[in-house]
Amino acid sequence: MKTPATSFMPDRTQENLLLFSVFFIAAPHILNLGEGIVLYFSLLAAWRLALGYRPALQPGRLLLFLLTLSGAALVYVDYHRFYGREAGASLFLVGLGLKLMEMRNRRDVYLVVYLTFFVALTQYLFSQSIPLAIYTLAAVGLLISVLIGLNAGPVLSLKTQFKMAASLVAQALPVMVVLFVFFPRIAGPLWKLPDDPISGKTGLSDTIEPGSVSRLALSAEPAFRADFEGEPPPPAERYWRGPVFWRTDGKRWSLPSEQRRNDAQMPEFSGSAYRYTVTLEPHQKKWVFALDLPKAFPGDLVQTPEYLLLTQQSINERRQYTITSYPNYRTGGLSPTELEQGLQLPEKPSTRVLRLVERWQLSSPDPRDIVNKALLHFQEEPFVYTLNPPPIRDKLVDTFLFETRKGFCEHYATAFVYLMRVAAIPARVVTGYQGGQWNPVGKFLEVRQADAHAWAEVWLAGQGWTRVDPTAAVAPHRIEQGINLDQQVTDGEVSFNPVERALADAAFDFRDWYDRARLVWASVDHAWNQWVLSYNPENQKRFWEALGIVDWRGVISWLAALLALCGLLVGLWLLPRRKPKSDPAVAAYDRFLKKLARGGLTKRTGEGPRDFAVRAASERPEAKEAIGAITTLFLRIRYGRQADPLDLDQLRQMVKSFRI
Amino acid sequence: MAALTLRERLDPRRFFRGEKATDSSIVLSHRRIFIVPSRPGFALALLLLIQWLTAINYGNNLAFILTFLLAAAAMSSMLYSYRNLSGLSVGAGKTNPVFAGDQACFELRLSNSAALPRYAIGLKLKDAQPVRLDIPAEGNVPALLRVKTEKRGWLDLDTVTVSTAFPLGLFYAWSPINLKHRVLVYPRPAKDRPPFPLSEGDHANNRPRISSDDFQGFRAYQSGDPFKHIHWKSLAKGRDPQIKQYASGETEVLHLNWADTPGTDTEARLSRLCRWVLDAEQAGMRYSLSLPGTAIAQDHGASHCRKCLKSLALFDL
Repeated sequence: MKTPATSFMPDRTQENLLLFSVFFIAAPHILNLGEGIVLYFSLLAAWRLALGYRPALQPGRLLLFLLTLSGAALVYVDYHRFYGREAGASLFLVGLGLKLMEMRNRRDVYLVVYLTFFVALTQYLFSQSIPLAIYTLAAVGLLISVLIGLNAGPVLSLKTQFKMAASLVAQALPVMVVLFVFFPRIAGPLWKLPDDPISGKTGLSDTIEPGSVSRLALSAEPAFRADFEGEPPPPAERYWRGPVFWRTDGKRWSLPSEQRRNDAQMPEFSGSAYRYTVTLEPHQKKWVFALDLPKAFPGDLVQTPEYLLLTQQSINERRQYTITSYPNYRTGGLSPTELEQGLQLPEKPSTRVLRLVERWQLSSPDPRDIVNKALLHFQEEPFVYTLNPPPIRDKLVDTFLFETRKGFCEHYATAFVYLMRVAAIPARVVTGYQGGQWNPVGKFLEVRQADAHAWAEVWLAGQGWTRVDPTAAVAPHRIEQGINLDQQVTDGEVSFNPVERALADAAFDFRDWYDRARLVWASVDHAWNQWVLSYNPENQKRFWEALGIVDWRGVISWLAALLALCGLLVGLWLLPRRKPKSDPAVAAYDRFLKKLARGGLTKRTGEGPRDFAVRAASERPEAKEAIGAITTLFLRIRYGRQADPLDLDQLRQMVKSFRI
Repeated sequence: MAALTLRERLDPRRFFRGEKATDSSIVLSHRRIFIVPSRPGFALALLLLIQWLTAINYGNNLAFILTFLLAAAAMSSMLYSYRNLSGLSVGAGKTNPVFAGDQACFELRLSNSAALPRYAIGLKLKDAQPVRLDIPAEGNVPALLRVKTEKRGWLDLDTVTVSTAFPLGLFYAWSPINLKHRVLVYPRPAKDRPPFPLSEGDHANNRPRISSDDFQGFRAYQSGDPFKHIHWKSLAKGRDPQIKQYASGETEVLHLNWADTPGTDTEARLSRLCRWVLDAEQAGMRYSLSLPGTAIAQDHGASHCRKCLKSLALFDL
């Protein structure tokens, strides 16, 4: 029963449980950190496991020192520094592994457990997905059970230990929710974050060249989601405005290094408006994608002369903005700079381009007619809309227009703008997203990276900047139905190898089921983003205002009241540990004693029922028989060889009718 | 338990010294249980602070969730610690007298009326080896606290601290309890074996015979009879234990008298008397004891011996 208070781990099982939990928590880092570091940690953990069976393997001081050095070197080789997200997380993992090697007493166990908690936290800097959250919740439960085992000693079975840890975590959940919602948030960052290299983030880039949009075409990652107040716009109106390009050097289109001052006049808006909230995934740029064209938007956004909304700082966490857009608009006149930029060409166009444009101009000098002629050209000539256009080495536009004729939206948009400029019509390329999938489960529009798109805008007198989408002329379904990833893959349109194609055919039957599951998952994910991950200082303030909390006193009273309520609930859960209901025979006998006590006869402590019965009978001879009968019956039920269930009923009956 | 006055309630000594000693067993309740974070608890607070700052810096809501979850689990572990002590009843058990210099053993009875077991309950007493035990649901467990004794007389049980850090070790819950519980400490028997004092009127024999050889007969065994007078042969034959009786003449009566002890040091004189009582009892002699103010008539046997030792233990106290 007794264990010395100094033993640091009750037994081998507990130690192995600790090692397992540590490894379990650290495992997801394999997705985030260099293989070398994860391998280093795994080796140390395995070594520690072996130590439990072969204590002679305990490394000496020198070896530990060398291990520490090599761990630090590993981190440095991978990241060339010791701070920042990746390097910091690696350093903690290396430290955890080393601490495992010299875990000798209770204090060390706590240090290991706390370090593990922190390693769990570093994983969130890489991903905040629902699966990871559930995984870590389980891991926290495991570590808590380790602490319980550490403190209880070997009497506790593993099962009880896990059960206790599970109920501790379950009881902690409501308090956690209260703290999450009400604990005052401070807008970060508190200190300057090192510029973490952004790896693996897909999204629109700030240049256009062949492949800059199409490389996104197979990415199912969400770009943003939009919740509409009222009906969503029809697919053909779902143009989400991103960066606008004026300048090209013939090969690529690039953004000006400096933003122009916004001197454009406000467009005239007409018709119905859409009011919606976009939840942007972090894309490390300042662009906020709004439906063409945004009129009202939050005050912390600015609008460029090209009507693109920009944030003050790069979006490196999920953000929400509520925006009102009008699909019908009319922009104003053209400034001399805009005119110059809108007609800029990198070099003299080739003769076949000039000849083509001249032919259009000859039939009608009206810019509107020229635009339609160009679109008709794309439609009637054998142009192909494909993700895998043949590479073009030189004279991009010229070769595309007259030779390859295969391209993705960026080819069509740039070629179209080029043609317009040759025809002296001011034009520019707009990138952004087009379409989006309506999620009937969550009632929101999900726009994925695959919906990235490029289109053109031409300036027409009286109308201002007008959107023209040459892709619509070549592949109208792209605009009407949006890009369908699964469809593209199964149709072989975007397939890369025959194996994938075969798999895609087999997957056809599952597509329906898969689609539905994906929709449900997307809406769960959206809810998670919207309700959990985007809860930031601003949202908290808004929520407090909705509750009528105006100052810190309000916050404290809410926090205190809710925490007290949680504490009370947990207390009620924990504390009723009274003895189970006593024997019914004893209860009946107690009632009998109570009746006698009212009559002035109290059983002394230490006086047996039989002795008491004798005394009671002598003092109340009139009740002698009843007292005797009840006592005999009670003793028979309590101590008799065989209990007759009828006896109990009889006892109860007799006690009930007993009068004194 | 009686309500505390305001003065008693606010007295900080209550946290460590506990309340006035009681005769009956003590049931630990919210009034007696105190709880503070332990060292790992403070370390966790530091960890949570660092996690919170990281969460703010990266604006990372899952990091907030993890931090708050840990904080909440720590808070509810405080309730578990409290529950582990609450309702536990601690009462005094048996004690046996000891000689000064030996270890006194206080037996405490911990009884758990609840339907859940209590884990890792620690009992601490000044100068005693701490005890850690687990109490099953609706179970009783004795706890033995051993204290080295120095002085003869009654040794009162000092404040016992019942504590627990269960389940996570983040909080230390304790309850100081004072029970009316004492152990009788006899004087330390003198190390040397001084000769028995000469009885008056027995000047002829310098020493009384330690064990008389005048065998007289058998009588039935009574508790307290010296083992070495048991007739083992008859016992081995399955008969009731018999005692060999020896002639105990006048000369066999030993009068142990305070006045016969040399020196002026009370404790040394008591030690000597104590030694004589023990030796005389072991020798199966009859003896009387007279101390200033106390006289115990001649007799022998265990209870007589205890009586003599008790009066020695409490002499002049």
